[in-house]
Amino acid sequence: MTTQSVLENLTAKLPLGVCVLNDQMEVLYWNDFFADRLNISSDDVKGQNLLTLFPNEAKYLKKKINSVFVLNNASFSYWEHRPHVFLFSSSRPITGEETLMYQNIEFLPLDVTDNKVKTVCMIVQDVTELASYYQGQKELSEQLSQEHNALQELNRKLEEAQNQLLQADKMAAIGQLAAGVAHEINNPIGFINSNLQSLEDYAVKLLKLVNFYEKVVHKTQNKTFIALQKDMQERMKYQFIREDMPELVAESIDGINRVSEIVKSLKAFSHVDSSEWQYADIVEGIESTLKIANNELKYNVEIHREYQQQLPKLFCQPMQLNQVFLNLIVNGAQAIVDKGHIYITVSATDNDYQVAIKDTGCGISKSAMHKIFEPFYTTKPVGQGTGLGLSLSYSIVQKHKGNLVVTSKPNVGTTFTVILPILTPEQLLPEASAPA
Amino acid sequence: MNNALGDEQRDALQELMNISMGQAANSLARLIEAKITLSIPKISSVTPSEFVAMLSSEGMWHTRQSFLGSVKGEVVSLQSRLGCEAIAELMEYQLPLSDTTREELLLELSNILAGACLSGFAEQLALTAKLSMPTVFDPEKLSPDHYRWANTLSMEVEFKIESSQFDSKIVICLEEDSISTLLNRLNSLLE
Amino acid sequence: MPIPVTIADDSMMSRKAVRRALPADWDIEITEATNGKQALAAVEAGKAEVLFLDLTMPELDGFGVLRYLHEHHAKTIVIVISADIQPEAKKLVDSLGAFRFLHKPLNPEQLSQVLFDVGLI
Ligand SMILES: Nc1ncnc2c1ncn2[C@@H]1O[C@H](COP(=O)(O)OP(=O)(O)OP(=O)(O)O)[C@@H](O)[C@H]1O
Ligand SMILES: [Mg+2]
Repeated sequence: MTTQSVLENLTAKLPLGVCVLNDQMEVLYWNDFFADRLNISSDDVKGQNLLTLFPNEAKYLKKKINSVFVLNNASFSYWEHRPHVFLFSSSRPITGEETLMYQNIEFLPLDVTDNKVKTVCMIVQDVTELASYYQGQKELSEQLSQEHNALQELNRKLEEAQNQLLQADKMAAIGQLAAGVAHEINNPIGFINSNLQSLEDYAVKLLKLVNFYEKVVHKTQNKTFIALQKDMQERMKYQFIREDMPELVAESIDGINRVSEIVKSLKAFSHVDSSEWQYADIVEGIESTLKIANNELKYNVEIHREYQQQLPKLFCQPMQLNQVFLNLIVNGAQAIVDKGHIYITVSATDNDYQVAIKDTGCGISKSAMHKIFEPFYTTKPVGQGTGLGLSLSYSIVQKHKGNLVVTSKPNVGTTFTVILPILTPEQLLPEASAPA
Repeated sequence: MNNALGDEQRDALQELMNISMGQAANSLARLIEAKITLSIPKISSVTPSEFVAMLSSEGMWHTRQSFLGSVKGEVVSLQSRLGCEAIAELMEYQLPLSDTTREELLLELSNILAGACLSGFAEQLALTAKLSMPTVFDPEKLSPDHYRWANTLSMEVEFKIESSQFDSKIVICLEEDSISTLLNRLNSLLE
Repeated sequence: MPIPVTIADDSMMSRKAVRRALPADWDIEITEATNGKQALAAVEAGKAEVLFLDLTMPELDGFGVLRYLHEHHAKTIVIVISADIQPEAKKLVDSLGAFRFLHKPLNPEQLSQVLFDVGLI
């Protein structure tokens, strides 16, 4: 075999596209790689213009090839930038999912005389395998980094949950303490209260008695007695005492009443056996919850109550339901930026209780609506919200075989309605024994 | 073999680089029709840590391409982010640049400059060196501990395009074995 | 009398290259300058009827030298030998009255031709 025929054989079998061009962009030669794909043999293509053969990337090819002629310097085209300069189909027509061939192309100065490039050689390399491998890897690493991010997010949430649990623990401890103290205070409050009632009674009577004596002294018309009495009354500041004493006593009675109210709600809220099932007055629960939530509400929120008369007692976990009401009321208050209202409506039919808590806050967007019951979903700044409020509430209501529904209009307000079926202990706790 | 550079050799290398960068600038100037300002080439022998320090300049994109022939080595280019768009416009790229087209532009620019610098240089010394395809790389990931060489000969030239504040550095680095080949040629040229 | 000629280039190699390219039988007296200031000093001292001038030089570059000569010594024959071969550079050099603009690396035949054109040999 001559060198010539070896070379011919070789270029025909080369897994590369080889194409030689003159400075008019006319093809002087191309190998089987091109010939087979375009069905134009090397002989037939001679003299045809490359740019008319490949019109879709003509501008790009022209620029690239021209730069080789002008600069006498090789130029390159990468699959990452221009994947399919030549619209050839992939080398895997049957099994591959790629339809177009990915290509790297080199444009080389071939014949150079006196620093002038006469012909340029274009070498096309099929890198479809490589490209799809890289793309696969890239997808994989993107997926990995996504998973990594998700894991990190989860970690963060777990940490937050742990903090929340610690906080809850602390709250429970404080609650127990408060309950203990409340219990201790209750007794003295009891007798202080009844003593004050007696004192009030006595004071009234004592004043009446002094009045009577005063009149008697005047009746005697004895100047000395009258002067003595007047002198004594002035020294004792009797006029002032007479006015002030009933007020003092009334104020004290009012004060002690308030103390006992607070103690009562503390006891009600943080009762040690908080999760016990029992018959309870829902309105009472809401009222004690409102006292607890008072701090959150005082300044910018006005509470409106509408309670149906003569509501039946409900068999439930009152402390747990209080927790639900607290969450809903606090959420409502937090949704109110400036000033607003919260309407609490309690009503009941034969079958169920309905507690509606309506606010005039910011509302919930449609897209957020399906997320609010998810644990950890919150729009509040770190430290303010854990996003557990609603999910916890939801599960409590579920335990009562009830339902928690929400309707909301952005910028108008939100209504959460707790629907609790009125059920017997047996219906609610089939396997447990009846309550004490 | 003594690979140390004498004054005369350094002078010669500097001048050879000066001539090749003149040719490179001329190539680019013809392509983009803008005046390019040349610097005086810096010839130095660098250690791996000096090499890493040299490349860690802020606000630059980096590309590299290796060359093979009677001398071997790599060409690293540093191209300023500033003025990139202006060059792109001169080179008829579509603006604004996407990540892909910017990379394409950087590779094309560095290929033109590196190609012209290296071929001019090799031609004057009757050496051969064929450049491979350039690729973009991140010098942040380089660590001097990874290198298997102790010294490389670095020839650094800087091109500035005043009208668009663009700045490009081309650093030709020779493999240790190639330095002696180069010096032999240089010495016979100086005789 | 030998013609006073100055070769101004910061590179020793390039100065040597110019020396070698000059015709051996040309009766001249060569002065070398390694920057623009030295080149001007040589001109002032009457040592540069012909000046071979590089463009990129320290202290004062070739353009600076040309500018000065253009104003003060229009008679000096300046032949620029430059690595910067951009069309812009040539235009500027021409406008400053240089006689010829030659590219580095210097081609000895081209140099002889130029000297012949000027009527120096
Ligand atoms: N009444 C409401 N008005 C507007 N948005 C609400 C209302 N109630 C709940 N949301 C939205 O639902 C989210 C979840 O509420 P959820 O009670 O579960 O958690 P949170 O209030 O953010 O945190 P936490 O209750 O632990 O303090 C809130 O962050 C808020 O975006
Ligand atoms: Mg909440």
